[in-house]
Amino acid sequence: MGSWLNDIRKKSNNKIQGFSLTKWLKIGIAAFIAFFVIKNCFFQSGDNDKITIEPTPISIEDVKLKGEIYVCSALLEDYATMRKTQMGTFLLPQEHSCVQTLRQKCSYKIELDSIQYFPIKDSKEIAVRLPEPEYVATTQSSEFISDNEEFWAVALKSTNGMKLMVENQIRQKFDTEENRAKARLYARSAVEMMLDKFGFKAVFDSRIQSSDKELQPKEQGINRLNPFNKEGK
Amino acid sequence: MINLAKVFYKSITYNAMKAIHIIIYLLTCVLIPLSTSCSGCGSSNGDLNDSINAGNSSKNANVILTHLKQCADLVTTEATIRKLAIYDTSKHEKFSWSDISTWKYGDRKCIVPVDITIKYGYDLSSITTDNIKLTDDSTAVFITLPKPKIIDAGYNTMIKEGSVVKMSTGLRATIGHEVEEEIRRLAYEAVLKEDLTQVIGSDIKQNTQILLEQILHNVGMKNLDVHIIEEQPIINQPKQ
Repeated sequence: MGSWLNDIRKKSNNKIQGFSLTKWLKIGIAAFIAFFVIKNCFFQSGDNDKITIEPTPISIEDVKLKGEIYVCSALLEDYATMRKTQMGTFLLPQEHSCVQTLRQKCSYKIELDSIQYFPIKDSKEIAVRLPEPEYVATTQSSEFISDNEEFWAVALKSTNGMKLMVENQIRQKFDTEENRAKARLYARSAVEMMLDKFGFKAVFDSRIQSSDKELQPKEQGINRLNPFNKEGK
Repeated sequence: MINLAKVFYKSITYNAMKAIHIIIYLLTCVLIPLSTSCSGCGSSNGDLNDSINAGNSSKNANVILTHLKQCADLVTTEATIRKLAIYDTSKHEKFSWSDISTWKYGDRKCIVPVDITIKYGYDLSSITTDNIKLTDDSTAVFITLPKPKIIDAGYNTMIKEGSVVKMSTGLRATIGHEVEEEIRRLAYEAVLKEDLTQVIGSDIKQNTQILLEQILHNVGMKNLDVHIIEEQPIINQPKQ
């Protein structure tokens, strides 16, 4: 009995001498601190904040002559989201999500080349045929937000698909019949204003403004409006 | 009896120590990888499901930042600009012992080419009849125009595959879409800050002249010379 007790005492003494409680606690705390320091310092802190780009020269690739009137402009913003579930550690499913936002300036464009003028002889009036306003949008800002940048860098090769989706949403919202009607109205007043500055009065005829199919031969419009025109003779 | 109690006490202490040992082991081996994988450093074992959703307009997701602009703008010149946006942490990040956030091992570099289109022109309402002067013999017209302004500007949203260079060294996180988009936005803003009319001002003037000549030609004023005069900025005289 006594020898058995002595054996246990010796064994426990040895083990307790080898691994003291405080020693283990210290090791644990140190491991935790080291882990969080490494994680915070090297992986997270400041990696995404305050991005600064280097000053680089701007190269002007092309300067083109354009003749366009922009009417009915508005700034619109929309987004699309994506979710993906991945198998995480210990086969636990983890859900990740991301958002693609776009801010676009939407307008209606009228090309000056496609405006047709029919000067009315011996008067300061000009009959004008306006083309259908064309929807245009330019991106002012594009932002991608996600819960895990590294995951989405691998899982989503390109954001082009999401951007296209947002562009379509913006177009659906802006390019309505109501806005097109406003654009036609604003375009009319813009052309009126422009011609007025040169001392002319613009005349808009509903038949002239109708589609080209309706008034296919150019001469038809000229003859009707300006019987004294050379082509009308 | 006292010896027996001492042995029991020591064995209990030993067991307690063993328990703490197991807890620490659990924390280091199980919880840390779990927390790591949650925060983004874990490897992805496979995607289970994915879905893409559009912004819900019925819940006022979209914000119309401005109302429809009623006035019209005349665009005379379009400039295509290319800027190489370079993001290099080794050039602007500085190490400081006192700031933990600067303790970063490795660098992040990214080169993104950004194509920007800027359209220059004039607000039609800013030009009045006083700005247009016709000569007595009706052979020339002098048009005084203000400084051209940016009517529309934007950058290409679609990224060409392979055009972007990304690299991360050391323990730095890889560059994802967020950083890439931010770099592109910064490049666009940097270009907009520059007054390019100093460089392409003469082109804008020439294009405006051609365009106005075309308009006047179309309305029947065929033999008319158009001369563009730049409006002089009003300088406030100091009061004496």
